Amino acid sequence: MRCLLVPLCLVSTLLPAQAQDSAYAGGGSVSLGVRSAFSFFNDGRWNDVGLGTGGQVRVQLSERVNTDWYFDFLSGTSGNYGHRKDLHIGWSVLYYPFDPAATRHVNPYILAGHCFDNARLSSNTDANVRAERWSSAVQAGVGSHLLVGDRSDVSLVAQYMIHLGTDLHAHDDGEGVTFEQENGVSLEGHLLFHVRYNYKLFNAW
Amino acid sequence: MVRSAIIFLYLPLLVARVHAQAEQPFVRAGLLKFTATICPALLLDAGTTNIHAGGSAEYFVEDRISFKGETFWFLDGQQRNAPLQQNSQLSFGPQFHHMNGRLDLSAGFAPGLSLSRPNATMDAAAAQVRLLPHVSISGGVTFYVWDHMHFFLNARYVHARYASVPEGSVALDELMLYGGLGWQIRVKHR
Repeated sequence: MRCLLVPLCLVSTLLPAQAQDSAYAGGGSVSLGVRSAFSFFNDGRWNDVGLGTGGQVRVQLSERVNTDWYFDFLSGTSGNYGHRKDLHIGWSVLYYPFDPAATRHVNPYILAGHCFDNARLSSNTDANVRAERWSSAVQAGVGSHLLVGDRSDVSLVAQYMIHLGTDLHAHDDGEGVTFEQENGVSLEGHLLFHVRYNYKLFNAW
Repeated sequence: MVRSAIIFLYLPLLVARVHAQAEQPFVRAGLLKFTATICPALLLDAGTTNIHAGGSAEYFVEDRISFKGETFWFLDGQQRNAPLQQNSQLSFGPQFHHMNGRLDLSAGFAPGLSLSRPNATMDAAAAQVRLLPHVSISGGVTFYVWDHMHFFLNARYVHARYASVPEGSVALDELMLYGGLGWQIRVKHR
């Protein structure tokens, strides 16, 4: 993780950061971008870091308010016996607490939003042993755009996402791995770090 | 003899033309680049070498920022009993450029997807081809030798993990070093 972020920050600081194109400074801009996700605390454990790839469309509502509409594909472990693949689809609202006109190089923000998650768990030893779960989630966090061009920015984001769904986990009873889905609902959270690149395409209004 | 003389006379003109072009800003928004090459990749955890056929398409969305898509098709391992049977990759991400005449230094990152399969020596039943996310950082140098051709040398580190074999996760981290000849056209003129 550190080996990825340090060069990125170095690159960002070396670049001649520029003010946003005035035509794209206010509301109405529509952007497209790609992102990498790092998921910590999966199953409550630090060492099972999930890795994800995705993209987002960004629609700015006003000078201080932006929205991200995103999709992520994540892969990680599930205990010692299985692995999981997650599809996240959702949206976040970004609020810029500082005047964007005054923050020419770095534009920090706070965010909150909703997410839907499809989790597919499979046994490490038998691919036919698997389970699937849908859940909804809310997320909140902080981030910052690094303005690296007239229309381009790199964003670093940290957010906590908490899922509401059924508890699904792997068991190994000695005769093989099984997945157990409990009745009722359960909360399951994880910490997400994102590195994103975004390019402003056009002004919608 | 006549042909040799013509070439000899034409050579200074060609050199002068190249130098004249070098004074103009060569890379700017609207440039589209392609490459195709062979990419050796050091699989860091195993210490073995993977062989990929690679290609890229890169478009300059701004004067110093490009959006680059790269694909690496896994051909084989260099060693016998290589730890991977498949590890092809597709990635998209930005590249940030620093230009000095015809010399272009670049660095960037790219999220991507890998199509991976560990070797059957681990567990033939469990080690299936899987689609996995990955992230890569890369840097490189490009020298534009002509309006439509360039030489390039790139280094790329890719981080991925195959998390579904009985022994645990397989680290798919690779260090790639590749270069060669590329082509470029200007699709948008100012």
